[in-house]
Amino acid sequence: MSNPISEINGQSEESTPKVLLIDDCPDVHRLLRARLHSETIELIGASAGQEGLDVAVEQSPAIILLDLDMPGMDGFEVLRKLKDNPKTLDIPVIVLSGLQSPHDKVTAFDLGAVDYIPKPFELTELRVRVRSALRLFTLMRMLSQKAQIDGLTGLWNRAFFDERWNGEVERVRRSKAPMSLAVIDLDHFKSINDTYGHPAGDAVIQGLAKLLRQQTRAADVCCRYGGEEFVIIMPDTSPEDSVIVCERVRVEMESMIWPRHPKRQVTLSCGIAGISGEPVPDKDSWLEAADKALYTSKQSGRNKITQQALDGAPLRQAG
Amino acid sequence: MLDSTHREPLLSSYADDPEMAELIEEFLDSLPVKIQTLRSGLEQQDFTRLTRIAHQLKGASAGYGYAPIGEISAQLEDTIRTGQSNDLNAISSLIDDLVGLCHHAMASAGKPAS
Repeated sequence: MSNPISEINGQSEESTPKVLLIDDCPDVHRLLRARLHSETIELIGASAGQEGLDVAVEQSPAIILLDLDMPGMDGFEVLRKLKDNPKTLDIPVIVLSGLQSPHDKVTAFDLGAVDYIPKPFELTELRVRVRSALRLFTLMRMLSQKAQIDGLTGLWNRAFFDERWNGEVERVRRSKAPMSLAVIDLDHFKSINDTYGHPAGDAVIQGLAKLLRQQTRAADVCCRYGGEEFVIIMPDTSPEDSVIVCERVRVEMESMIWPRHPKRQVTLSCGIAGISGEPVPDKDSWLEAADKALYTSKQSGRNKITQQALDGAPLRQAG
Repeated sequence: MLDSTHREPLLSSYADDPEMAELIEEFLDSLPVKIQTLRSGLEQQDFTRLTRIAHQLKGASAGYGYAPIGEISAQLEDTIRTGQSNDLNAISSLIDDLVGLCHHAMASAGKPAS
């Protein structure tokens, strides 16, 4: 699944961070490639301002090295546009230039550059400044993601879910791809807390989180929505396939033995709403449909999975 | 133009850096084409082309450790950009200096100045 912890330690799935060089002079590209070849980075290039902006949006580099003195759109303009676009706003930009006037440096910093490297490059200085910007990038990523991670389970939190869910619904509205949403709630969780104490309840929450991490796929987004409630966004997954995944989780959960209360099994109820080709509902009614399916599972005896059609009637039950 | 045999050799300030050797070599090998571009640009009074080549030479030569070539290129770019393009004599004389320096750098590295 999409695991917040692994995404914090560098870019998810990509082991080497990308560094984008925007400079009109081909020699500068060759020089930098030679000068930085021993660093663990992937150097990508653009030879003009607009091309650089496009590549920055497409590839989300970890840092950008930007030449100020370019024909056409100059570096100041590129910097302004990078900072105006929410997609590129947070990428640290190091400005490269032979322009030595203090005024240009001040302008570049005012526009949001994090550092300034004079041309011609001094080898050691270039390397340490790139490394320092990469550290900054990693820290910023960590901070912004920490605010989106649930402390108890390490899954994404409610705030992250709200943002991501909105984005995913918009995405399928364009792509028409299937997608499912599962809402999972632990059965009689309050009585576990009351009977065995909160540490036992926490262990159950963590146990389910671990199960979700094991049983879902890389593209699935698992979140702790609140208390004992979890949601899984399953891109490219029809509701029928989503039932199969959740059924595995349900079966594993009911067979787990809990060290703090080995004789007391814990079960979960689940509601699923998804589309495969139908019109895309708005994100709130979609979430409500999944919630309604969860309610049906609870009403019909718990330890069940209900799939809810997005136009009202329950379709299928498992468990 | 001065006779290059009477001058200090013009070597890259990175000449001792093994990482740079191959790049400097390529840069020197690219100079004859650049010289040709400068000459034909001047002949045709193609100031756009001259500005571009001067701009690129400015960035590149400093990067390869040839600061003097970079300085003259910067002067040439400035002279054309600041609207002094009617002063053909100034431009022509800067190009002569630039071509001279390029030949000198090539000769100092043991390359025949074409």
